[in-house]
Amino acid sequence: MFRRLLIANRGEIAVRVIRACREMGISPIAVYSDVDTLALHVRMADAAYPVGPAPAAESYLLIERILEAARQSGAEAVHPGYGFLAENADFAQACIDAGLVFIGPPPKAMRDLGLKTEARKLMHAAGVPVVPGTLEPLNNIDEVRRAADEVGFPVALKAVAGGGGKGLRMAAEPAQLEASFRQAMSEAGAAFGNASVYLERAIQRPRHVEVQILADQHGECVWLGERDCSIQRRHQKVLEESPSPAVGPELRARMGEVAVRAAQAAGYTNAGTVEFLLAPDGSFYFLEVNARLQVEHPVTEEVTGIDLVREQIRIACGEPLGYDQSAIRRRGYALECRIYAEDPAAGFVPSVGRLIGYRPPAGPGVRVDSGVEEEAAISVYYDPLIAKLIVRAADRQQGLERMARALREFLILGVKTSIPLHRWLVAHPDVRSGNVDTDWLEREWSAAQASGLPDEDVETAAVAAALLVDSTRGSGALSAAAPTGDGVYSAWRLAARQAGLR
Amino acid sequence: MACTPPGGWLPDKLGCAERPGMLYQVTIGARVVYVELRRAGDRVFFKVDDGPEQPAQLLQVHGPLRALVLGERRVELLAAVQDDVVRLTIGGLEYGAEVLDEAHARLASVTSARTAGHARRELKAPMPGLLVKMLCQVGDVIEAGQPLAVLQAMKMENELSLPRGGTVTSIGAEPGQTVEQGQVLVVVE
Repeated sequence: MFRRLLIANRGEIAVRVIRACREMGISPIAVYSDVDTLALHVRMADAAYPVGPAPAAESYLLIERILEAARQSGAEAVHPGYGFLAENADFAQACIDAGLVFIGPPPKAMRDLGLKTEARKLMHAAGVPVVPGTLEPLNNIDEVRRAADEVGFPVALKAVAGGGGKGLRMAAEPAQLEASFRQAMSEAGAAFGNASVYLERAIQRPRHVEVQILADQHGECVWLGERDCSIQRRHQKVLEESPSPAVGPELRARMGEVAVRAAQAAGYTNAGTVEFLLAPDGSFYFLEVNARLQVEHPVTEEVTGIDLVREQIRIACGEPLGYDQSAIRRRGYALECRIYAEDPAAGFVPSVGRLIGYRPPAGPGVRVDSGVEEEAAISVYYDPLIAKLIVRAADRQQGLERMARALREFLILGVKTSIPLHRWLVAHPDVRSGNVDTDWLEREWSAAQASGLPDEDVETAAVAAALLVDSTRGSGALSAAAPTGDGVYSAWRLAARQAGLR
Repeated sequence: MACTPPGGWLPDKLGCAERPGMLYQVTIGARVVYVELRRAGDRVFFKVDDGPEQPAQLLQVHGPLRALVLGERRVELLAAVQDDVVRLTIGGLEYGAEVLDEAHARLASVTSARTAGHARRELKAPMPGLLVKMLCQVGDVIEAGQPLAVLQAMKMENELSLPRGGTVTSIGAEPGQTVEQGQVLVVVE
C-alpha cells in the first residue's frame, strides 16, 4: 500500500479523501492556494504545499505545480477528487510519467469517454443503448438540419467535450435549430475550449439514473446499484437518492449489467459512474461515463456499506477487489442534499461571505461531508458547496422525514444557503411520491415558488431581532458592532442618545 | 402561557416608568411585524401585533448561537448583526430583519422614501463578473423575484433579482461591462 498520497483538490472532497487515508494508514498530503492557507483540508493533512494564488487556473489546475508538490512531499500516488483535474487525461498521464500512481481510470479510457461522440460510438458498438442521434460532431447548420430531420424533434444539441449542462441547447422545432446550434457551440468553446457539438433526440420527461461501478485491474467489475438524480436545476444535481423510486429489481439488474458492459468496453478501471436517461416507458439510454469519484458517491456508500474512496485507493494500488457481484448487498435508503452557498429566493445567485455561524446536524443516520467550519470564507473562486448532507434510513418515507429533520437542525449564518429549497423539496408532494423528471424542478420553480419558500418562523425571528436590538440599546455594544453610515443603527445610536438626554 | 404582567401594558408612554415599553417595527422580506417589548426588573415581555403578552428571553449560548424562549416555546437560533440588518437562522432558514423603533419608523415614513420596509433597494453584483444582459430599464415596475440582469461568473450565467418589487429608478451598468463585486446594477424604489 502507498505510504504517502497527495490530494490534488480542496474543500469537502479533499477532507473526504484525507479521512480514507487516515483509516488506511496512509499519510495524506494537501495542496492549497493562497486563500486556503488555513482551510480544513490543509489543517487535517500531514503536510501541505502551496500551489499558487486563489484563482483555480493559477493554482489547483496547474499540473506542473501539483506534480512539483507531489515530488517534494515524496507522495507515491495522487487522488484528484472531483472537478479541477479529475477528468483531465493529460494530468493522469503526467502523473504516470512522473512515476506517480493516478487514482482513477487509465488516461486512454478517460480520453475515449471524455468526448461524447467517441463514447457514443464505443457504447453503440458494445451493444449499450444510446439515445438516437449522431455519432459524429456536426460541422454546419445543414448537417444539423439533416440530423434533426432523421431523429425527429425535439432535439438536444450537446457539446462533444461537455458535461454539467454546459454547451447544451434544446430545439423544439426546426426554427430553433440555428440559434441553438450557435449557442451550444459558443458555450462549448468557452467552457471546454472545444466548440464541437453533436445532436440527439431529446427524450421527453426522462429521469436521470446512474449506476456506480467498481473495476479492478484484474478483470473484476461490479455494479453497486443506482442513484436517482432527477431533481436538477440547470442540469446541476440538487438532490440524489438510492434506490430510485422508479427502478424495480429487474430494471436495476439490467441497468447494472449494461453499466458493467459499458465500463468493460472502455477498458475502465477504478470507480466510475455510468449515467443513463430513463424514459417514462422504462427504456433507458447511455448518457455518459463520469470517469471519477462523484459528488454524490456517499449515497451509494450508505446503502452498500462500501467505502468508495478506500476501494479507489486499493484498486489503484493494484489490489484485486476480492469480491464479486454476488457479494454486493444494498440495504435501506439514502438521500443527499447539496447545501450550496446560494440564494434560492434570488435566482440562485452564489452568496459569498464568512460563515459567522455554522452548526451542522447530527444524530441517527445523518452524515455531513464538509470542508468548512465556523469562520470559514465562501469565496468567489471555487464551487460554492458548503456541505453535503446525507441521510440513511430504512425506507424512502423515513429517509425524507429524516432529511427534513436534519435540514431544520442545520444552522448556517453569514451566507444565503440552498437549505430553504431543500426543505421545500423534501416536503413537496411530487418528491414525496417520487413523481419527478429532470425538468420537474425547472417547471415547478418560479418566482411564485421562491416566495412560497418556507418561512414559518418569521414572527419568531422578528421577536428575536427586536430582543437583540433592545438588549444592546444604550449599552454601546450595538454601536460597536454596527457599521457607520446612515443606516438603521445610526438612527439607533441617535435614539439612544436622545433617550439619555430625556 | 398567557402572562399578566404587574402594572399593565405601557402605563405611560410619556415616560415616568423607569423603562417604558418599546414598540419595534421589524421588517423581514415583505413582512412587517410590530413587536412590543416591556422590561420589568429582570424580565422581558413581548407582544406581536395585537397578540397576547408573554414573557421572552434571548440567551447567548456561545458566539452567534442563542436560545430563545417565548412563553413556553423554545427555539434555537443563530443571530448576528451584519450591514445594519439582524441576521437570524431558525430551523435551517435565514431571515434578515430590519429593526426600527416606533419613533424612527414614523419619522422615516413621513420624511422620505426611505420608509423602513419599503426602502430603496439596490441590486448589487454578488461577485465580479461580466454583465451579459440587462433585463429592465428605468421606469419599469418590477415584481419580487423577477430577473433583472444576467451576470456571467464562475463560467455560469446567473439571473439576478431582488426579493421585493418596485419601480426601477436607475441602472448602474451596461451589458458587456465587467462589474466588480458590490457594484450597484439596478436601483428600485
